[in-house]
Amino acid sequence: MARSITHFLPLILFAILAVIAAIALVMTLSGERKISELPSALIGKPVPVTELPSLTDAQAFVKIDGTGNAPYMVNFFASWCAPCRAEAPALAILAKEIDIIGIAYKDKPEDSRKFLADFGNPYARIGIDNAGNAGLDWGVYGVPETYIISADGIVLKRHAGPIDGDNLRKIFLPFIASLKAQ
Amino acid sequence: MIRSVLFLFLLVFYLLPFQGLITAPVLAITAEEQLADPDLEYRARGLSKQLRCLVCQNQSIDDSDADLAKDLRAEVRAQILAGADDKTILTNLQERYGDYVLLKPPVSLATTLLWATPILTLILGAGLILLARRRKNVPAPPPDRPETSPDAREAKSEAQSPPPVSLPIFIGIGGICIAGAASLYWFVLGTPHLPAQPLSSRTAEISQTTGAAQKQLQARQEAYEAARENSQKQPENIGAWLSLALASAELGKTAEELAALRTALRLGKGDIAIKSMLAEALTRAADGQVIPEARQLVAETLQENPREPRALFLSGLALMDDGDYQGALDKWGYLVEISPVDAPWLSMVATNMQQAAKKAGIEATSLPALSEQTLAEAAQMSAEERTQMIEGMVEQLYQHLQGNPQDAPGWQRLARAYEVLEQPEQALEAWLRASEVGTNDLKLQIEVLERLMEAGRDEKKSVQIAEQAQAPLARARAIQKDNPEFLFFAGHFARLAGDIETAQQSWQSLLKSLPPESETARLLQAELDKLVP
Amino acid sequence: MLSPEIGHFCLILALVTSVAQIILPTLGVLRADTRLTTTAEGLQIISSIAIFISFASLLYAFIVSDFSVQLVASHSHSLKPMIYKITGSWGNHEGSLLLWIVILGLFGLLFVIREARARLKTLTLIVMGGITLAFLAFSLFTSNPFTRLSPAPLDGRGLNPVLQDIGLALHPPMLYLGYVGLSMAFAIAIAGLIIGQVDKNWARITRFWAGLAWSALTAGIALGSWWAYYELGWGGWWFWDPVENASLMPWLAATALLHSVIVVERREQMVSWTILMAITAFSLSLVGTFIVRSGLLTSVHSFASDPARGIFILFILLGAVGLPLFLYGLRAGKIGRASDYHLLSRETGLILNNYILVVSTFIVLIGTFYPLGLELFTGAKITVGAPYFDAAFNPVMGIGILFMAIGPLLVWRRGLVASARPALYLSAGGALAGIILLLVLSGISVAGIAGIALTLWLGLSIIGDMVFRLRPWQAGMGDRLRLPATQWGMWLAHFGMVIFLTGALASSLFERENIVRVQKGTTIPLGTETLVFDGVEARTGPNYVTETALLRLFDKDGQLIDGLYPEKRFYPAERQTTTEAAIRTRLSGDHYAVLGDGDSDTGYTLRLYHKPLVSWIWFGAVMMACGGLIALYRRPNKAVNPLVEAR
Repeated sequence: MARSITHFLPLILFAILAVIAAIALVMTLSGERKISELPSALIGKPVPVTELPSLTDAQAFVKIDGTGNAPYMVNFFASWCAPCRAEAPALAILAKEIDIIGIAYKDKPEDSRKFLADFGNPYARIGIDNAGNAGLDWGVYGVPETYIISADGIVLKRHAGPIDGDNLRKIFLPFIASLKAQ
Repeated sequence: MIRSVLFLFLLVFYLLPFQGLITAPVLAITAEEQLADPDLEYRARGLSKQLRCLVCQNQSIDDSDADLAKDLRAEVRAQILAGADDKTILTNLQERYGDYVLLKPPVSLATTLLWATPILTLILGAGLILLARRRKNVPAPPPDRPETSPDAREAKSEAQSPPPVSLPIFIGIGGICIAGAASLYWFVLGTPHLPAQPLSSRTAEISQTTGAAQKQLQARQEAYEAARENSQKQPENIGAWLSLALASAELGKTAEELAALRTALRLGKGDIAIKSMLAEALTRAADGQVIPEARQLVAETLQENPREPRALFLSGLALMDDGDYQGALDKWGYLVEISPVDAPWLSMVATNMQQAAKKAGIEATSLPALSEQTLAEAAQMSAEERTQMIEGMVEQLYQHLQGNPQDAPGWQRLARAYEVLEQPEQALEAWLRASEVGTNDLKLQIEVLERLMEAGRDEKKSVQIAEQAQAPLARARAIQKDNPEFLFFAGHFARLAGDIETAQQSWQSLLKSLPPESETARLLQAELDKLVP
Repeated sequence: MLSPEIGHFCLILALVTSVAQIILPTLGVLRADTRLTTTAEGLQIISSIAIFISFASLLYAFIVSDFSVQLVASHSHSLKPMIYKITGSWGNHEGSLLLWIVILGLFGLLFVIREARARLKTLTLIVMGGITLAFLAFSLFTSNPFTRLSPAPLDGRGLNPVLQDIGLALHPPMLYLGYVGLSMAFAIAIAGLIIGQVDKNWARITRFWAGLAWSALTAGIALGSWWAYYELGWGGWWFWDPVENASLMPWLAATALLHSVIVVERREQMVSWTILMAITAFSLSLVGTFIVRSGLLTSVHSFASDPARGIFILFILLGAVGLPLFLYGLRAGKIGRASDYHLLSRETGLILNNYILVVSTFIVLIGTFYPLGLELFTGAKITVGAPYFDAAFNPVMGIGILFMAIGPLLVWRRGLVASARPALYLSAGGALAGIILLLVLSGISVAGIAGIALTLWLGLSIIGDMVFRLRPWQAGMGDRLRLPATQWGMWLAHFGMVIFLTGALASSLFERENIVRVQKGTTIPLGTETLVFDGVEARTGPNYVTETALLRLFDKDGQLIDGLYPEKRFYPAERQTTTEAAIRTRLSGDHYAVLGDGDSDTGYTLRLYHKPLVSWIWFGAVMMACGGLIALYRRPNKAVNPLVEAR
């Protein structure tokens, strides 16, 4: 009897693999699984301390560190990035709820300025990350990327890719509301 | 044909950059990146082979020429120079980018199975082999052969039962069934009517089409040149700038189109028709995104005329951008409501509404804010199609109004369409029909009177125009007889008809309602003075 | 003439025919009616011919650029060179699927012609009908190659120069020959399982088809790796990419099958195991298809993927693997005989071979799918890349090579061949000497030394076996040369492995690389040789312009050996740039040069390599494939060779 069960082992193994493949496929189809999206390693950790020259004020610096008295967002953008345009309306809405610090990633300052003039400037402060060093510190792998930071400087959330209407309504606004409620 | 030309156009602009990505020259590490010390460089290369290029597909940063890979290579070398050892460098990058960056996954709870599998299967396999050997002593069962082998049985049965149906008939029936089923399928789901079209047999068609396309391009080019010249000659003529905008749009010269529209807007002192056109052009220029400036224009347009279709459409699009699908649906729903049943833009609005509804209904989808289709359609709304759209609109609207002559907004739309097509007489006629139907719409009457005033500038027609203006004037008077605009027009047309007395009366009562020190009052006084012979 | 509609019709005809091919012979078997069972052959012939006509009409549409066929419009262009118009017909999802079906039809036809009429043949053809039906349905319902466009566009959109490559054009058909050949072995295995009679005759038939498939698969993988080597431009030849793994897994399983089926053929043992291997090998080839086309895993070289198609393939997989495995579970206990061999016997050698091959298949499988599974269950994303496989796969393969040298020296049931002892002394001595020499003389890593020692061990054991068996120093070698083809094939294939290992080890351990930015006239050292850079020259190709670097290669004595001309091509019509590496291939190794960006002011970036013996990798693979083919040959009069049958 035991022997005949061993002959079913290959079927069982195959069934397990097939179920995994089926789940993966259904999730990919339903859009729940995104092949290109990566979880951030920074979640739950303090923000990487970042100090960048300001885009708006040649003398000043934009500093991001653990100190602050309210939650804020950090958004990496660039004028050369098409999806950054797409998230401009969403950022404009978010800017009413929360401070957004922009980081112009690998972008010429004059291009960044033109971009902001065309698509609106939702940022409280803007740092220039010309060499992309801040991007490396934050683990950015492509712009736009958006981080939500708690008042005590912990990275709570990372979103890679443009914030579209869906993300805005279903992720960002509720999340920020719950942050404020605390 | 226009569609396929547009399609090719889209292709050139959307697809080529992407293909460029695939074929980007492969030259991962460059000479400048390398460290001078060969030992350190050797270490750097070794580390690079352990790190994944995060934006690539299964490439190490050593193999990839992506920007991010380059940055990471530089980072690795910087850390080596700073004196970090290999392990520290890998840990540093792992802390920022996660386990994903390591091509060799670290041993952890999550990867237990991964790392244990090779050893486990080795042990398990060895165990199974030993187990099988233990059974070795089981005596071999007697050969399990039936008396007659199946093949023999088969042969026997062949010999025993002669076929009841002869073989040719059997084959014939079977063949017909199979061929019949295949043909049926083919006729239903295939395209049997389409002949083969090898390229060599299509030379005539191709030369004709390419010729036509060339001619069309040439015609557009000429139209554009003419429009530009015209606008330079008459820099104060709104129409010249508008046609320049249209002509540049057809050639895809977005920047010039925008500039021309801005000039027209300035000359037209904020005319809402131009505003909405500019908003649309801006949206097209931003790949279908309604940028802040366009939003402003749309808002202004709708404030003046809440039923302006183009602005309504764009405001829906803006709400869609913001993720307010319900809002977008409402806007577009309203647009559909006020549009004539056969308006040419309805199908596009319907497609957009479907998308909005889908997005509003489905949780946690990750579609981009604008679907490709909307983008494509927005982009296809080039000047080319706009003209076509207007022509179609005029035709359909005209048919529609024959059946529904009481539709005042319909007449109004028809009139505007004629204006865009630069057919002033038909436009004026449509305005007058609108005025007849919309008897209690003061704004409409005023608008008609404006148009009449424009037309009356032509001295040959002034008397006829003054006559035509009487009916709208009477309607406006019936609605609000002390309306300043009405009073102005009453005076104007009275003067045109030579009825100086009425003109003086009207203007004087208008003058009373104006602040005495105002510029308008001063101008009106001047006109009044001119009336006295 | 050959309208695409004829092709479409024939494809549908083949679909209907394969439905009949399942139903009629099955009825025949159930009712023991030979008229019905023999229809299997006729229907297979009809469906094969219909499929051929269908493919011919697609080819024709590509040749004459019939852009009313959507596939042609999106993957061809009137300006493409004719050869790429033709190869373009299978350089895409729909066309490659049709090619797959064509090969299925080809194998079916050959099977009908070659094998004698018997119950096994009927049942095999029924299973083949099922597989053909599944793929035809997949093609017609989800990926119809004959979708028409009306009006037809004026020109196609498929002028991508990167896809105009002969290696890329040839390796899919070769791989498919392998994949689909495995379906033949699979069908025979299922038929044997149903009949419950798995004997020497069954094994002979299976070995022929499995061997054919294995040789094609070997060649296909080698071609694919060769393509990656010269086209991807960074000189690697195996990246442990999911798509590559997808072809390696069926190859490993097919290798196991090819060896275990010998045990069935000679001893009627390991019967159920062999059937399991046949099912596994074919399943893994389906899994490969699934990976490439479903978009589940990311890869450097996959087709534009579509998860919806993935669902269809998943269903095919469930039917084609789940059902047979269920059948296997029911029937496997009832077939085969208990084993009766000694520990030191050819049987043990082949069992060890299968053991290692199955374990390594498993490692590749888990390495490929683990990230996917982990992501599903924990959301964590990890990468399993080349370093993992180097650490997990290579040692297991090392053990395999250890066994590989001994296995062929064992005889059936019990004992060693006469030449075994001297051969093993030779190889052990050689390997030991190699280890000592390398430890003393070079700074090669432990893994590298182990690799070299294992290669020596395997190579010398094969040479020793041949030499001591043929004994050229004694008279009458002519008689001794009359060994069965299987023996010669095995030697050739196994020695191909030695050649492959030599190439792989030498090219990675002794590679020389120099990446420089240089001005015209600079002398660049590369190992013992030097290169002189004579600047960059613009050249004009048929539809592109180039920047071609002029390099002269000198040996260590300063003698001019050859010129190398790597270039960057710019295709103005497509606005694309491609990099063409210059490769000077010699038996002793390749010189490989790539031109990077730069200009005459700042200098040009050049990547220069010398990769010793690298072409041995593919040469070894070709030897393996040839060995596999030779082993298929059976002498009409089966003269028993006393040496092989020695006990």
